Amino acid sequence: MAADISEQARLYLPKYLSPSRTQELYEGLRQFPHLPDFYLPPSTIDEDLLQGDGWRGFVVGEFNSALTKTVAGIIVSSSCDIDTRNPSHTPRRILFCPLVSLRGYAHDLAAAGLEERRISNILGNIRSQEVTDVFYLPESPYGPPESIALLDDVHPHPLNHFKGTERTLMFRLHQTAFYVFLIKLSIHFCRMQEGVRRFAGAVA
Amino acid sequence: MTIQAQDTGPADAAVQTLEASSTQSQSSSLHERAGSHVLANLLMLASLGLIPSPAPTASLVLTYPGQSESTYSVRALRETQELEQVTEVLTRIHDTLLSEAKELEPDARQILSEQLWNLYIT
Repeated sequence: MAADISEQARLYLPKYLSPSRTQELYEGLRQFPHLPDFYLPPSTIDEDLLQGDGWRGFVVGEFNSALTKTVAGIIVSSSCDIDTRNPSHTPRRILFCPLVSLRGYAHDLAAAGLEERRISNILGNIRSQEVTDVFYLPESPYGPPESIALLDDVHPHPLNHFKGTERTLMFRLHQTAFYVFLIKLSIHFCRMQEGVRRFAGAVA
Repeated sequence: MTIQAQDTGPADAAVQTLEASSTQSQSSSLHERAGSHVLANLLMLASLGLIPSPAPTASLVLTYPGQSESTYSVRALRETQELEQVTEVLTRIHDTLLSEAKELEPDARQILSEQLWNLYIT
Protein backbone atom coordinates (compact mmCIF):
# COMPACT_ATOMS: atom_id res chain seq x y z
CA MET A 1 0.00 0.00 0.00
CA ALA A 2 2.72 2.46 0.97
CA ALA A 3 4.64 2.13 -2.29
CA ASP A 4 1.50 2.55 -4.33
CA ILE A 5 0.53 5.72 -2.48
CA SER A 6 3.92 7.32 -2.88
CA GLU A 7 4.09 6.56 -6.59
CA GLN A 8 0.63 7.92 -7.21
CA ALA A 9 1.02 10.91 -4.95
CA ARG A 10 4.06 12.07 -6.88
CA LEU A 11 1.77 12.94 -9.76
CA TYR A 12 -0.14 15.59 -7.91
CA LEU A 13 2.13 17.20 -5.43
CA PRO A 14 1.09 20.78 -4.73
CA LYS A 15 2.31 23.04 -7.52
CA TYR A 16 3.21 25.92 -5.22
CA LEU A 17 6.07 23.98 -3.68
CA SER A 18 9.61 24.61 -4.86
CA PRO A 19 11.43 21.66 -6.48
CA SER A 20 13.34 20.93 -3.29
CA ARG A 21 10.16 21.07 -1.21
CA THR A 22 8.39 18.87 -3.74
CA GLN A 23 11.16 16.29 -3.50
CA GLU A 24 11.02 16.49 0.28
CA LEU A 25 7.28 15.86 0.25
CA TYR A 26 7.65 12.97 -2.16
CA GLU A 27 10.37 11.39 -0.06
CA GLY A 28 8.15 11.80 2.98
CA LEU A 29 5.19 10.14 1.36
CA ARG A 30 7.34 7.21 0.27
CA GLN A 31 7.70 6.35 3.92
CA PHE A 32 3.99 6.39 4.69
CA PRO A 33 2.69 5.54 7.25
CA HIS A 34 5.95 6.31 9.09
CA LEU A 35 6.25 9.91 8.02
CA PRO A 36 9.67 11.41 8.84
CA ASP A 37 8.37 14.93 9.42
CA PHE A 38 4.94 15.07 10.94
CA TYR A 39 5.02 18.63 12.29
CA LEU A 40 6.62 21.86 11.16
CA PRO A 41 9.26 23.43 13.39
CA PRO A 42 7.73 26.24 15.49
CA SER A 43 10.17 28.77 14.01
CA THR A 44 8.59 28.32 10.57
CA ILE A 45 4.94 28.88 11.46
CA ASP A 46 2.77 31.89 12.14
CA GLU A 47 -0.36 32.33 14.25
CA ASP A 48 -2.93 31.94 11.46
CA LEU A 49 -5.61 29.31 11.99
CA LEU A 50 -5.10 26.56 9.43
CA GLN A 51 -6.81 23.26 8.81
CA GLY A 52 -4.88 20.54 10.60
CA ASP A 53 -3.47 22.89 13.25
CA GLY A 54 -3.44 21.74 16.85
CA TRP A 55 -4.51 24.37 19.38
CA ARG A 56 -5.13 24.52 23.08
CA GLY A 57 -8.16 26.59 24.09
CA PHE A 58 -11.08 24.83 22.42
CA VAL A 59 -14.15 24.23 24.57
CA VAL A 60 -15.91 20.88 24.31
CA GLY A 61 -19.28 19.98 25.83
CA GLU A 62 -20.32 16.63 27.24
CA PHE A 63 -23.65 15.70 25.68
CA ASN A 64 -25.37 14.02 28.64
CA SER A 65 -24.16 16.18 31.51
CA ALA A 66 -23.70 19.49 29.68
CA LEU A 67 -20.30 19.80 31.35
CA THR A 68 -17.68 21.75 29.46
CA LYS A 69 -13.92 21.43 29.38
CA THR A 70 -11.12 23.36 27.71
CA VAL A 71 -9.11 20.97 25.59
CA ALA A 72 -6.54 20.65 22.86
CA GLY A 73 -7.95 19.96 19.41
CA ILE A 74 -7.11 19.68 15.73
CA ILE A 75 -8.88 21.99 13.28
CA VAL A 76 -11.11 20.20 10.78
CA SER A 77 -12.57 23.30 9.09
CA SER A 78 -10.94 24.38 5.86
CA SER A 79 -8.44 27.20 6.27
CA CYS A 80 -10.36 29.54 3.94
CA ASP A 81 -13.62 29.11 5.82
CA ILE A 82 -12.10 30.26 9.11
CA ASP A 83 -9.97 33.05 7.68
CA THR A 84 -11.52 36.26 8.99
CA ARG A 85 -10.01 38.14 6.04
CA ASN A 86 -12.67 36.47 3.91
CA PRO A 87 -16.00 38.27 4.30
CA SER A 88 -18.82 36.38 5.95
CA HIS A 89 -22.40 37.45 6.60
CA THR A 90 -22.96 35.00 9.44
CA PRO A 91 -20.92 34.19 12.55
CA ARG A 92 -18.51 31.38 11.80
CA ARG A 93 -17.55 28.41 13.88
CA ILE A 94 -14.37 26.37 13.87
CA LEU A 95 -14.87 22.64 13.69
CA PHE A 96 -12.33 20.68 15.67
CA CYS A 97 -11.68 17.20 17.02
CA PRO A 98 -10.39 17.04 20.60
CA LEU A 99 -7.07 15.25 20.97
CA VAL A 100 -7.24 12.00 22.91
CA SER A 101 -4.29 10.61 24.83
CA LEU A 102 -3.15 7.35 23.24
CA ARG A 103 -1.19 6.43 26.34
CA GLY A 104 -4.32 6.92 28.44
CA TYR A 105 -6.35 4.83 26.02
CA ALA A 106 -3.78 2.02 26.15
CA HIS A 107 -3.95 2.15 29.93
CA ASP A 108 -7.76 1.90 29.87
CA LEU A 109 -7.63 -1.05 27.48
CA ALA A 110 -5.29 -2.86 29.86
CA ALA A 111 -7.43 -1.95 32.87
CA ALA A 112 -10.43 -3.45 31.09
CA GLY A 113 -8.57 -6.76 30.83
CA LEU A 114 -7.62 -6.87 27.16
CA GLU A 115 -4.62 -9.05 26.40
CA GLU A 116 -1.34 -7.32 25.72
CA ARG A 117 -1.19 -8.76 22.23
CA ARG A 118 -4.61 -7.40 21.37
CA ILE A 119 -3.73 -3.99 22.74
CA SER A 120 -0.55 -4.00 20.69
CA ASN A 121 -2.56 -4.90 17.59
CA ILE A 122 -5.10 -2.14 18.21
CA LEU A 123 -2.40 0.47 18.72
CA GLY A 124 -0.53 -0.81 15.67
CA ASN A 125 -3.54 -0.32 13.44
CA ILE A 126 -4.02 3.19 14.81
CA ARG A 127 -0.36 4.13 14.36
CA SER A 128 -0.35 2.95 10.76
CA GLN A 129 -3.37 5.20 10.03
CA GLU A 130 -5.44 2.18 8.97
CA VAL A 131 -8.40 2.93 11.22
CA THR A 132 -10.57 5.05 8.96
CA ASP A 133 -12.24 7.24 11.58
CA VAL A 134 -9.10 7.89 13.62
CA PHE A 135 -6.24 10.26 12.75
CA TYR A 136 -3.04 9.35 14.56
CA LEU A 137 -0.64 12.02 15.84
CA PRO A 138 2.80 10.82 16.93
CA GLU A 139 4.72 12.37 19.79
CA SER A 140 7.32 14.91 18.76
CA PRO A 141 9.23 17.86 20.20
CA TYR A 142 7.11 20.00 17.87
CA GLY A 143 3.84 18.23 18.52
CA PRO A 144 1.44 16.98 21.16
CA PRO A 145 1.87 13.88 23.33
CA GLU A 146 1.13 10.78 21.28
CA SER A 147 -2.55 11.18 20.58
CA ILE A 148 -5.47 10.51 18.29
CA ALA A 149 -8.34 12.53 16.86
CA LEU A 150 -11.65 10.75 16.43
CA LEU A 151 -13.15 11.99 13.19
CA ASP A 152 -16.68 11.32 14.47
CA ASP A 153 -16.03 13.50 17.51
CA VAL A 154 -16.28 16.89 15.84
CA HIS A 155 -17.28 19.97 17.83
CA PRO A 156 -17.93 23.62 16.92
CA HIS A 157 -16.32 26.61 18.60
CA PRO A 158 -17.39 30.16 17.63
CA LEU A 159 -14.52 31.67 15.64
CA ASN A 160 -14.73 35.13 17.20
CA HIS A 161 -14.76 33.67 20.70
CA PHE A 162 -11.78 31.47 19.94
CA LYS A 163 -9.76 34.33 18.48
CA GLY A 164 -10.48 36.40 21.58
CA THR A 165 -9.77 33.72 24.13
CA GLU A 166 -6.55 32.48 25.65
CA ARG A 167 -5.21 29.92 23.22
CA THR A 168 -1.93 28.31 22.26
CA LEU A 169 -0.77 26.86 18.98
CA MET A 170 0.52 23.37 19.76
CA PHE A 171 1.57 22.22 16.32
CA ARG A 172 1.14 22.64 12.61
CA LEU A 173 1.16 19.55 10.44
CA HIS A 174 4.00 19.18 7.98
CA GLN A 175 2.88 19.21 4.36
CA THR A 176 3.16 15.42 4.17
CA ALA A 177 1.08 14.80 7.29
CA PHE A 178 -1.46 17.40 6.21
CA TYR A 179 -1.81 15.51 2.93
CA VAL A 180 -2.58 12.30 4.81
CA PHE A 181 -5.00 14.19 7.11
CA LEU A 182 -6.95 15.45 4.10
CA ILE A 183 -7.18 11.98 2.62
CA LYS A 184 -8.48 10.55 5.88
CA LEU A 185 -11.02 13.37 6.20
CA SER A 186 -12.25 12.77 2.70
CA ILE A 187 -12.53 9.03 3.25
CA HIS A 188 -14.45 9.49 6.49
CA PHE A 189 -16.79 12.23 5.31
CA CYS A 190 -17.10 11.77 1.57
CA ARG A 191 -17.11 8.38 -0.13
CA MET A 192 -18.28 9.27 -3.56
CA GLN A 193 -18.17 5.71 -4.81
CA GLU A 194 -19.99 4.16 -1.90
CA GLY A 195 -23.14 3.39 -3.93
CA VAL A 196 -25.54 3.40 -1.00
CA ARG A 197 -29.25 3.26 -1.84
CA ARG A 198 -30.75 6.58 -0.88
CA PHE A 199 -34.44 5.73 -1.26
CA ALA A 200 -36.66 2.65 -1.19
CA GLY A 201 -36.65 0.78 -4.49
CA ALA A 202 -33.44 2.38 -5.72
CA VAL A 203 -31.08 0.19 -7.72
CA ALA A 204 -27.68 0.08 -6.02
CA MET B 1 -23.93 34.44 -8.30
CA THR B 2 -24.87 32.74 -11.51
CA ILE B 3 -23.08 29.80 -13.03
CA GLN B 4 -23.44 28.62 -16.58
CA ALA B 5 -21.68 25.76 -18.27
CA GLN B 6 -21.22 26.00 -22.00
CA ASP B 7 -20.33 23.18 -24.34
CA THR B 8 -19.15 24.08 -27.80
CA GLY B 9 -17.85 20.62 -28.63
CA PRO B 10 -19.04 18.23 -31.33
CA ALA B 11 -22.70 17.33 -31.51
CA ASP B 12 -22.24 13.93 -29.91
CA ALA B 13 -20.29 15.30 -27.00
CA ALA B 14 -21.99 15.25 -23.65
CA VAL B 15 -23.50 18.55 -22.72
CA GLN B 16 -23.21 19.72 -19.17
CA THR B 17 -25.46 22.26 -17.59
CA LEU B 18 -25.06 23.60 -14.15
CA GLU B 19 -26.96 26.42 -12.57
CA ALA B 20 -26.69 27.90 -9.14
CA SER B 21 -27.75 31.12 -7.61
CA SER B 22 -26.86 33.17 -4.61
CA THR B 23 -27.66 36.67 -3.51
CA GLN B 24 -24.36 37.09 -1.77
CA SER B 25 -21.61 39.10 -3.35
CA GLN B 26 -18.13 37.68 -2.98
CA SER B 27 -14.66 39.08 -2.85
CA SER B 28 -12.56 38.64 -5.97
CA SER B 29 -10.29 36.11 -4.26
CA LEU B 30 -13.26 33.98 -3.26
CA HIS B 31 -14.62 34.48 -6.74
CA GLU B 32 -11.49 33.03 -8.32
CA ARG B 33 -11.39 30.08 -5.96
CA ALA B 34 -15.07 29.34 -6.46
CA GLY B 35 -14.67 29.19 -10.22
CA SER B 36 -11.78 26.81 -10.09
CA HIS B 37 -13.44 24.66 -7.47
CA VAL B 38 -16.74 24.41 -9.28
CA LEU B 39 -15.10 23.33 -12.50
CA ALA B 40 -12.72 20.95 -10.79
CA ASN B 41 -15.57 19.34 -8.88
CA LEU B 42 -17.62 19.04 -12.03
CA LEU B 43 -14.80 17.28 -13.83
CA MET B 44 -14.12 15.13 -10.81
CA LEU B 45 -17.70 13.90 -10.91
CA ALA B 46 -17.31 13.20 -14.61
CA SER B 47 -14.10 11.26 -14.15
CA LEU B 48 -15.74 9.10 -11.52
CA GLY B 49 -18.47 8.30 -14.01
CA LEU B 50 -21.21 10.00 -12.04
CA ILE B 51 -22.06 12.47 -14.82
CA PRO B 52 -21.19 12.49 -18.54
CA SER B 53 -17.80 13.92 -19.35
CA PRO B 54 -17.81 17.46 -20.72
CA ALA B 55 -16.20 18.10 -24.09
CA PRO B 56 -12.64 19.46 -24.02
CA THR B 57 -13.95 22.70 -25.45
CA ALA B 58 -16.52 23.23 -22.71
CA SER B 59 -16.22 26.23 -20.47
CA LEU B 60 -17.74 27.53 -17.30
CA VAL B 61 -18.89 31.13 -17.01
CA LEU B 62 -19.38 32.68 -13.60
CA THR B 63 -20.94 36.05 -12.96
CA TYR B 64 -21.18 37.61 -9.53
CA PRO B 65 -23.32 40.67 -8.78
CA GLY B 66 -21.36 43.80 -9.52
CA GLN B 67 -18.43 41.95 -11.05
CA SER B 68 -17.41 41.13 -14.57
CA GLU B 69 -17.93 37.72 -16.11
CA SER B 70 -15.20 35.11 -15.67
CA THR B 71 -14.69 32.07 -17.85
CA TYR B 72 -12.98 28.86 -16.82
CA SER B 73 -12.26 26.44 -19.63
CA VAL B 74 -11.90 22.69 -19.43
CA ARG B 75 -9.14 22.86 -22.02
CA ALA B 76 -7.06 25.26 -19.93
CA LEU B 77 -7.46 23.13 -16.85
CA ARG B 78 -6.63 19.91 -18.65
CA GLU B 79 -3.67 21.38 -20.47
CA THR B 80 -1.89 21.45 -17.17
CA GLN B 81 -2.55 17.69 -16.89
CA GLU B 82 -3.10 18.40 -13.25
CA LEU B 83 -6.78 17.73 -12.94
CA GLU B 84 -6.83 14.30 -14.53
CA GLN B 85 -3.83 13.26 -12.46
CA VAL B 86 -5.47 14.49 -9.30
CA THR B 87 -8.66 12.68 -10.11
CA GLU B 88 -6.92 9.43 -10.94
CA VAL B 89 -4.66 9.53 -7.93
CA LEU B 90 -7.38 10.50 -5.49
CA THR B 91 -9.50 7.64 -6.70
CA ARG B 92 -6.64 5.15 -6.42
CA ILE B 93 -5.55 6.29 -2.98
CA HIS B 94 -9.07 6.20 -1.68
CA ASP B 95 -9.57 2.72 -3.07
CA THR B 96 -6.25 1.55 -1.66
CA LEU B 97 -6.83 2.94 1.81
CA LEU B 98 -10.37 1.68 1.87
CA SER B 99 -9.23 -1.82 0.94
CA GLU B 100 -6.94 -1.73 4.01
CA ALA B 101 -9.50 -0.01 6.18
CA LYS B 102 -10.02 -1.20 9.70
CA GLU B 103 -12.33 -0.25 12.51
CA LEU B 104 -11.71 -0.51 16.20
CA GLU B 105 -13.15 -3.73 17.53
CA PRO B 106 -16.45 -3.23 19.39
CA ASP B 107 -15.08 -3.70 22.90
CA ALA B 108 -12.11 -1.44 22.21
CA ARG B 109 -14.45 1.17 20.80
CA GLN B 110 -16.75 0.86 23.80
CA ILE B 111 -13.87 1.46 26.22
CA LEU B 112 -12.82 4.51 24.23
CA SER B 113 -16.35 5.92 24.25
CA GLU B 114 -16.78 5.41 27.98
CA GLN B 115 -13.46 6.99 28.88
CA LEU B 116 -13.36 9.67 26.20
CA TRP B 117 -14.10 12.63 28.47
CA ASN B 118 -11.20 11.72 30.73
CA LEU B 119 -8.84 11.04 27.84
CA TYR B 120 -9.08 14.48 26.27
CA ILE B 121 -5.75 16.30 26.33
CA THR B 122 -6.16 19.65 28.07
